[in-house]
Amino acid sequence: MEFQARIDMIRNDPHLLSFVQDAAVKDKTEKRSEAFEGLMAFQEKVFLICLGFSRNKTDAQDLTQEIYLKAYRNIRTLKDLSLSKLWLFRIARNTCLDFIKKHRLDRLSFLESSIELKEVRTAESQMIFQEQLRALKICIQRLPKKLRDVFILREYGELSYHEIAEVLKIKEGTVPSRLTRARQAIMNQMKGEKNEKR
Amino acid sequence: MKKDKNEKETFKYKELIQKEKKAALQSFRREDLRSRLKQRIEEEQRKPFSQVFWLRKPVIVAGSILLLIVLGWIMTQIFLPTSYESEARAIRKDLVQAFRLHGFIEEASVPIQPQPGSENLYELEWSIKRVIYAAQRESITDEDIPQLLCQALQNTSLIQQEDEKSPWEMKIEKRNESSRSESNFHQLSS
Repeated sequence: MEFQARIDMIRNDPHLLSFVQDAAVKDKTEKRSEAFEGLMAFQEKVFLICLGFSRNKTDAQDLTQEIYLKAYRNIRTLKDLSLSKLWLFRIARNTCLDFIKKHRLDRLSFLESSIELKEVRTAESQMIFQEQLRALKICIQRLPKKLRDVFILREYGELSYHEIAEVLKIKEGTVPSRLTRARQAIMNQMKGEKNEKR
Repeated sequence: MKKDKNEKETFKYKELIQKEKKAALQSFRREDLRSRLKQRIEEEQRKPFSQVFWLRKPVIVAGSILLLIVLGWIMTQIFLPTSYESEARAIRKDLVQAFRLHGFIEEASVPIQPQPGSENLYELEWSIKRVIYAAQRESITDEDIPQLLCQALQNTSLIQQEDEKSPWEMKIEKRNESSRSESNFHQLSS
């Protein structure tokens, strides 16, 4: 009853009503900015997912920036802020897929690979690493879309099975089976590449 | 043996991915994403309102729909026939219902074929015209007009009869007829 009386009092007083409304908006905005700040904690995970989908680290960096910009623009559309992490990963995956589509990465071979290992000192080992990485990237891109998404989210993004299932909107039980098939396909392809070289 | 080989292969590609991730993360940490993001957000907020407003999806969709409606209206104004045809159809329907003239209208809508003897109608038309002309020029009373018209009608029927006569007979009768009608005119006018 007391609560109802307070509500009525606020409703009847326009100054009080506008004050309460302003406070609610402020609170909502603050919560959103807090949620966005919370999303910044996953920047490395997002970057790694982008690295899995893209050709190199430069593309991955640009994509990460794009993903966060999208998240900033659309965070007000998010109803449940507790799901913001999964929402961010979904944005990441969709943005990467758009990037692949736009740049026709399916048809391109990954000639450009700018990853340099500091621990590898000799030029020869650096070259071998580059070559192996290029072969792996091609194998990943050749995977069927369903398997590729699961593989990248797990191996690059290090997401849990539950998170992967939520991002891809599939059953949790489907994730390990797809992952096993993806790994098997990668190994087969890499073996095939090796045999071709011999 | 085969299992060991598989595990070895798995370990190999996992190691490769780990190395790639490690190297990429090192360079990513060097780049300050937060400051770059802040810069881009500020740039976006600095954009003039009009530019952002016109680029919004609902605005674009609404604008395109409005444009299509205007274009459609213009097209209908240019290419669609006027309401004359529909009006004519409606009038015709009303007439048919009101006067049961369906047969007549049907006949009238058929293109007119010249019938033998239709030149008499032409003669009749000119006779009537002559009467009207005379009525305008001479001071003829209204009561005389029907009589004159009767005369003109008679003349036309005489022409029809002449068609069956020889040219020589026709010539004489025509002369008599014209003198008769002239004297009638003079009588009436006087």
